[in-house]
This record gives sequence, C-alpha cells and structure tokens, in this order.
Amino acid sequence: MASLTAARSKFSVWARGSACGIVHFLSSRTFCSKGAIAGKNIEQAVYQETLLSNPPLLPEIVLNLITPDCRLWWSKVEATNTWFADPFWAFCWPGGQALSRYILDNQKVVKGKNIYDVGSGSGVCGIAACMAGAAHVKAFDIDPVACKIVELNATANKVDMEVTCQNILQETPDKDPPNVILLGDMFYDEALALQMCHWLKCQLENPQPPMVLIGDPGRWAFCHSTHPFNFRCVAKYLLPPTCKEENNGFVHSFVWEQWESILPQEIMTMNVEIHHMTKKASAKVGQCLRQALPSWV
Amino acid sequence: MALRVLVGCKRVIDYAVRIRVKPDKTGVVTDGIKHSMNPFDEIAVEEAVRMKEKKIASEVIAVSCGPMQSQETLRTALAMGVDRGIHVDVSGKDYELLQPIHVSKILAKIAQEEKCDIILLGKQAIDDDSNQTAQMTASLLNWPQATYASKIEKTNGELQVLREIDGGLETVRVKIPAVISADLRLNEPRYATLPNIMKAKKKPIKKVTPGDLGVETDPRIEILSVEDPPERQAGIKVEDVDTLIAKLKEVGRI
Repeated sequence: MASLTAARSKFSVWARGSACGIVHFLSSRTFCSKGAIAGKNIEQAVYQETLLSNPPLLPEIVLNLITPDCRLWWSKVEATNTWFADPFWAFCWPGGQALSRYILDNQKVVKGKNIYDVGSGSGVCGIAACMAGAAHVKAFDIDPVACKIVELNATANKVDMEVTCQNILQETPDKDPPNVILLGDMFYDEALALQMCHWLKCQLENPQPPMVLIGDPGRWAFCHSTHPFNFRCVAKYLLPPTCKEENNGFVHSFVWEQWESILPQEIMTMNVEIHHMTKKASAKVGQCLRQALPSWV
Repeated sequence: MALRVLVGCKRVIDYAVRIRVKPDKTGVVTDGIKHSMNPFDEIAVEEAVRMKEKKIASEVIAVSCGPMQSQETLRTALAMGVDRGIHVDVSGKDYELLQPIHVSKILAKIAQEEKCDIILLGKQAIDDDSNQTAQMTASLLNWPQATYASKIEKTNGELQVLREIDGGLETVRVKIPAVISADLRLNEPRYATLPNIMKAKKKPIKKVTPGDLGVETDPRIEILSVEDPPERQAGIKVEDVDTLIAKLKEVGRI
C-alpha cells in the first residue's frame, strides 16, 4: 500500500509519544505501587502527574487534571493504571462541566440546600455547588483515589465538602436526605446506568423527593436507560474545542432535570433522544429554558 | 432526520509489519504479530464520527467480525467517537475461512436489526485486498452504493458522493439507505487521545455469533497454497550498445 503515508505519519507520532512516556515512567517509578498508593503518595503523584487547570467551561474552578502538557496524556493507558487505576477523575467530563456551569449560573438551584454529588470523580459538581452557596455538600465516589483527589480539589478551590468512598447505590444513608442529587456524566456505562436508574427511582419515591440534575453530552446509555423518567432539558452548552478533543463524537453537553412531582413511569412517556433535539422535539420535552453559548461560538 | 450509521472495522496485520508466509503454505503468520484497524476502515470510522459531530448522524455503531482480539479494534473505533460496538465472534478455522460474502451477510443483517440508514466501510482491507464487502452488502440489501468515496455531503434526504474513478472524479447522488465505501482521500483519521481511550473502555460492546444472526459461514473457496512472491533475479551489466543488442537477441526480445 504505497498510498498510506497519512496513516504512517500518524503511527510515528504515536510511537514517539509512547516511547518518551516509557522513558519518563522508568525514571519516576520511585513511589508507585500498583493500584494501591495512598495518602501522601497520592498527593505526590498528583503533584507530579497532573496540572492545576481550569476546565474549559469553568474558568472559576481549578482541578488537578491530566492535560496535553502532562506526560501521561501521551503515554499508554496502562501507564496511568500503574499509578492510579483508571484515573477518571483526571479529566473533567463534559456532563460534569455542563452541570457545574449550570449550577454556577443558577445558584438558587442549590443555595442553602443539602447536596449529594454522586460519582463525583474530580468533585467538580460538588465544588460548583459549594461555590453557589449550598448548605452542605457530600461527594460519593467508589474510587478511594478519587476521594482523595476531591479533597485536594476542594482545598484548591477553598471550599469545604464531605467526601465518602461508600457505594451509595448499595447503601444509601438514612440521615440528612439530600434536597438535590447531582449526576455529572454518570451514564457512561450501560450496567451502571441501569443501576443508577433503579436507585434514582427509589429516591424519587421518597415522601419528599429530591431534585435530580444530570449533566450528559448524549451518551448512549443515557439515551437508552432513562426512558421511564420525565427529564427535561434545562441547559445546552456548546463544548469548546479543547473539550471536544477529549470527547470524540460530542459537540454539546446538556443539563437535564427530573420534572418535580412526576414519578418515573414504567412505560416510555417521552423518547429523550438528545440528538433529535430539534425545535419540535425540545418543545415536546419541555421548554429548553436556557441556551448558554459561550463567547467562542 | 438524523441517521444511524453502521461502520465496519476489520482487524488486520499492521501495515508496517513484514508479512511472512507459514512454512506449510496454508496462510501467513499471525501469532504474536502486531495488528491494528484496517486503515481504510479507520477512514470510514472517522467519516461516521464527523457525521455525528455535524448532527447528520444520531448514532454510530461499529461492527467487527473476528476473534476476541477484534474487540481491541472496536475499542479503537469507540475511542475515535463511535457510540457502541458489536463484536461478531468468529474464531479459529472459521475465521481463517471467513470471506467477504459472509461479512456482507453479517453486515446486512445487523444493519436491518439495528435499523441503520447508512453503512460506511473501508473500500478494501489491506490483508486480502478483496474489495468486495461494500458492493455485496449493497446488493444483499438492495440498497444503492457509492464506492471509493472521497467526499460525502448530505442534501435533502440524499447523499452526494464524490467518487475516485480511473482518470478523474465522479459525482453521484444516492438515496438513503445506502452503502458507502471510503477511499484514501476522504479524510485524515484523528488520533485517539488518552481521555478518549479511557472513556471508550466503558462504552458498550455487544457480542454475537454469525449463528445468532442466522448467517452460515461455510467457506465458498478452498485455499490451495499461499506463497511468497517470486524473488526478483539479479540483472547483468553490459559494456556497450552492441553487447546489449546481442544479449537482447540472445534472449529473444528483439
């Protein structure tokens, strides 16, 4: 195949990236132990492997993220696993960014309220809720490293929030039920999405159901698992170029709200297919209350 | 109307690997050899993802037929922005004898089951160079086809496709549903960066067998022998034109 020069140049770039990753990796191996780094070591690893940066939609928040300026960005996925085992917290996902942006621009949604940030990852939604004046924020993530990161990120943003590693989908605390549940990009996995829907349904059956806010760019599992719910789109954000590069296939991110006082139905009442959010469809789903398009549009 | 796109991605021996024929001449050595996605399929995947980003497509589904490792190829497609994958499990002897006709039947069946509007495939795979799958898939479904595409545009429910043909370019319009095969100049596929690769690990891959789809994979051809191309013989140098003419006469060329 003489005509494959384009593909060839691509592979050489990739090879260069991973080769340089390996060299760094060997030289900085001193305090890693597979999947089980804790406490001070996490701090040290985070300091060495991430950069405090602003997610593109959130100039007011800083997070410890793996960016193109970090060596791990260019290394193979397995190299990141040696340090952190699936560092999903090291990227600010588009759903989390959209939901945080929405909270910061609509502070009354969380002001003075008790908030659960479920599957907090970097903790971005919880941090945004703290900044918007929430009374109490509790972040849940089953990854112990992520929990530590949430603490670091909260400190970096000078906010105070509670973090727990407990799997809320399996054991939901009885004390202090939340007024608002935040789900930033929690529908990335099919099985998890189904569990999440089941759990959400239980929460909404409480005598005083919480408000549920979801940030999602239109993931398959979200579009195909949330039919029983009456979600309406309350915000739509265009993803900035750097965010699009981290999320191939997505151009927008949306914030969805469960209609208050309407319980989820067994039968699909509305096909929440975001890509079909034409004028007609969005009018059907509920009015798209806000269409915030940042200045780079 | 947003469309649902089915894209094929074949796992092939990496284009940079030197191919070795097995000593028993039944095929080429594949064990322990670096594999990657067929480069023309990468172009097809890229085009499908761009259609999604332009909101022409609502969903992109990638299909790969082959052994367990084909899921790695699907993960690459998912990291490029495909929504979900379907792995059609064909392994061992069955895989060695899997032919374009079988893959076409599999693709046609999946396209119907998943209610796809467009099937986007690489024009050919760099291992067997068959260049048959897109054409046969179109035929099985009785859909229009636009092969060797170097540009695809959507115009009122139709696709306008610029095709690479001998000595120039041809523009065709096809009604949807349609099968399109990608040529080299259609686009330049993106690199899958770390955050995309990580997120792709969580995207769904459904595993099915040809049997589940009701497709027989009985071989239609028998491989008699696979051989290396003959080695080129060394030439000779001649002193002057007269000797050259004499030599050419000797071998009967003039």
